[in-house]
Amino acid sequence: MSSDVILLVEDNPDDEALTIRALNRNNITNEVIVARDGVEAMDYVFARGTHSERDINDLPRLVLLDLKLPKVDGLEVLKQIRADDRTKRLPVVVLTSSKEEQDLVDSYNLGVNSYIRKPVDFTLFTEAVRQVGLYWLVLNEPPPR
Amino acid sequence: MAVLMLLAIGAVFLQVRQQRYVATVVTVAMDQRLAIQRITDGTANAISGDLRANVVLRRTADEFDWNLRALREGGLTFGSPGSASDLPEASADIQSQMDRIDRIWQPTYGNVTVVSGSAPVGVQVRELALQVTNRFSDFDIALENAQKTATAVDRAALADIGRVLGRVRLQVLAIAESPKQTAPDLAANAEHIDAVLGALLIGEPGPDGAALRQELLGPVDGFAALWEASSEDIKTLIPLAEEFAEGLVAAREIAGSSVPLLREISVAVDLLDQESRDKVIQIQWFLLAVTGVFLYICALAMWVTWRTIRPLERLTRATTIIAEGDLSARVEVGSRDEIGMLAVAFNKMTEDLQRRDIELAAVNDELEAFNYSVSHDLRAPLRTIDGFSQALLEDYEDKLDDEGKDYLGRTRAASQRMGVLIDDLLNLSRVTRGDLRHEEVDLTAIARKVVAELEEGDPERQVTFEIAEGAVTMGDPNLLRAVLDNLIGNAWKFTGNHPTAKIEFGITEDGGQPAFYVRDDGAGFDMRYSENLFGAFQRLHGMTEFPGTGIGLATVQRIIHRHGGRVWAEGEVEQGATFYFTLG
Repeated sequence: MSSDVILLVEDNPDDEALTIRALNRNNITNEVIVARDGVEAMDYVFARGTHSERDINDLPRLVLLDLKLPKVDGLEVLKQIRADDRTKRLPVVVLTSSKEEQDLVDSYNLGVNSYIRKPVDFTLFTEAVRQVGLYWLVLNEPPPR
Repeated sequence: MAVLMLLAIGAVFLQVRQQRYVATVVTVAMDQRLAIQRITDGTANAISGDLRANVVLRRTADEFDWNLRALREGGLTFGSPGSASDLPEASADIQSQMDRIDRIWQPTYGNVTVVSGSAPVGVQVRELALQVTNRFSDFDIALENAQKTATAVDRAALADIGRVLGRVRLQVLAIAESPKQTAPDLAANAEHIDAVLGALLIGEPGPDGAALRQELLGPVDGFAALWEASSEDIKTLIPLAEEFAEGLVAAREIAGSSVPLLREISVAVDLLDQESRDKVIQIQWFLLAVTGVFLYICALAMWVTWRTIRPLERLTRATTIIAEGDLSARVEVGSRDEIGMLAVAFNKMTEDLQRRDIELAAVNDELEAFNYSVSHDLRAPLRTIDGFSQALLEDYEDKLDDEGKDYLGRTRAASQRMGVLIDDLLNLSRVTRGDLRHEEVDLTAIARKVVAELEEGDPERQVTFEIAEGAVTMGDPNLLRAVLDNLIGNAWKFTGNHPTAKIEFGITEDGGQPAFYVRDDGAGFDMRYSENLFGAFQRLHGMTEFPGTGIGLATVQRIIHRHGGRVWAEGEVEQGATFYFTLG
């Protein structure tokens, strides 16, 4: 059983709105679940807390993960996802404002699938979201469940 | 201390000089002992009439006298360093001994002179006697010739002459040895020959008459002529021989009085020899003592040096450790002297350094956090401004007039530009962080790469490049790449308004070290504002003229400064610009 949910982990409501707008404008119609901090993101992925009703095997198709998050930061979320056998193959794309080298290194060390830096220019941002969606939702073969 | 050293060196020098002198005295004293022995023997031989011994005696005495004077007054030919009077301390005993020898020697030398003074007379007596005896073979021939023609009476007279002549010969030979006994007989014999010869020459007529006498006259005349010269010689020889004999008598008397004097001198010279040897040993002990003291001082100095050096070495080691970055290193304080105080001060300084290092690290961490915030948090609202402006433009296009759309366009442009500024600011701060690599960097190769990328980005441009070969230096390859990216990129940018351009990367010299430069013939700049070139976000050209945030040259300057180098520019409006840099 597979869903085509995109998990958007983003604490900034503006960025959330802009990301969803960019997805919509690129005709990406997958359901978008928004998690506004690290704990919420992990609750969804591991089907616990407010999402305990959810079937853990029903993994999202793609996680768009911001790094700077309240409570638990994005790198920790990534670490937990990769540490669990059930979720370790889940495609995670870091979508962040940070271009810090340390963040890049840490993300790749933790096994991120892709690292996208959000451009300020919305035109470019829209283009980036389009390409990410096209690649991960259409072109890329998802890992077997 | 220095004065003491000088005094010590002076004393040693004096002692060495004295030792050399006294050693000379020892050598000479040995000679003098032999000389005294020879003089004693020579005197004995000389008074026995040995003329050769006489000459040797005189020479030996002269040598003894000369050596004695040389020792006392200096000037020995074999390199004596001085005289007794120059070195009063060393030779007080030696000098008094030599004075004593001199006192005895002076009369002895006079005696020897007198003794050897008879020699010239003796030689004269000998030569004269030899001259006389050499004629005797001629006498014999002349007498024989006379005998042949002589009468019986004459023959007897001639035989008488021959007999007496034989005695004269012996007496002439003996007169040098015993003039007293021989002289009267010799004189009598010579007179006898004169008388007989005179009678013979005047003569009484023989039984054969005058004819026979005439025959005899010739040969006798020949003999008489020979004898006349010898007779004169004998007359000279006799008083000379007597004089020589008297001289010998006097010499014998004098020699007799010399014997005890010579014995005394011999003893004195022995004493001199002994005292000189004692003095040499004394000086050698002194020098040994001085050497000992010197070695002791050396050892002391070495010990003091070692004590001084050791803490300094520890200090150096600690400095090296600290220089390598370990600020926890401390120096063990072993003493309360200046070096100990230095060590305390050093430790205090290191503590301060360590504290400041920790503070700096804290500040640096804060700066990192700030950078992260700038990177992440400042960009997010910009994206919101830009994103929603765009959303407005798209979703409410029909509700906005052209002016409203223009305003939104400006809002978007400004937020995008601020995004670029933030990125540049982060890049600039990144340049000053992180470790600086130090390896060989081929600037020529980097310049070629930069140029290739520029040409690829805009193939339409007509730009000639001139890149110097072999621009190899030491530095951080990534940062130096950024330098050439900026400088050559600027040259490319600021020649953009010219139809053709020339960009040059070359090597020159600045104060003895290599300086690299990038030159273009583009827009250039006004030298009055050259100081503003390297400030962050400083621009000398309008935004519409040439794009950019004005961060490039600030980045270049930071990188060059991190390498310990210098960067400066020359230019003129519309005449191009040249940027120079050195690397430490």
